Amino acid sequence: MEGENSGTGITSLDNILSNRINNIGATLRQPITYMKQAVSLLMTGKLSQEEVDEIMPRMQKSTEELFTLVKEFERETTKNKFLVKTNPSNTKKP
Amino acid sequence: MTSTTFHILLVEDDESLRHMYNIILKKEGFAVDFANDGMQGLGKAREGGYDLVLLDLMMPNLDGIGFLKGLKEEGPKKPLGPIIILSNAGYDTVAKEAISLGVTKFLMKADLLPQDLVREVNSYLDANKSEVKAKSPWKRGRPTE
Repeated sequence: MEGENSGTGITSLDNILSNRINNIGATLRQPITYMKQAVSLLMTGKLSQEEVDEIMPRMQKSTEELFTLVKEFERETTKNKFLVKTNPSNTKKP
Repeated sequence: MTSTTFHILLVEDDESLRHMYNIILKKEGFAVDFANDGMQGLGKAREGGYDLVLLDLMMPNLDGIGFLKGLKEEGPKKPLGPIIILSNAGYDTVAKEAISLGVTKFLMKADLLPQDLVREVNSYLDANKSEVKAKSPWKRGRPTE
């Protein structure tokens, strides 16, 4: 189709892709932000034990959240090719 | 000891980040009030009386841009300090729109360490201290040393 090859079509696709990548970046940055700030706060040594106890499980939660987001992103972009169709018995360990 | 406190409204939907910013800001002697989304934040901002608003952009119910538009349509009852965007969304167009709607500054959350956040907040509160105090019926200022 002519429209698909036109400059407008490509620009539109670029915009969609750009917005998608921006959204993914923003979503991934959220748990990273928490971990980065939590580590920085912990390193000051100025937190009470109660605050440390509150922060640690949240750091763990942010780490898990980050892994889940990356996994979801891979699954979406590869349409499950890698995550579902890979046969573990044929997979060589690095 | 005379102790007056700056009041900050934090509009952030991420519970962990709310908790983190609360620890950081309270350690500096600020009083922090929270809103879990843009709609709740808009209600609180319309009441006014905050020295500074830290506003996230991507939120359920009403996003940051919707918050700013809503506040422009119906302003605060009491004086309200500057609004700083704290977001992880790095879109130029959104940042420009937020600035055009009266935001003082756009900060990327992921770029900030706790001390950076405190420095940014202090810089705006110090710069606006005399003006905010003169306008506001509330007591404001930093705790005296």
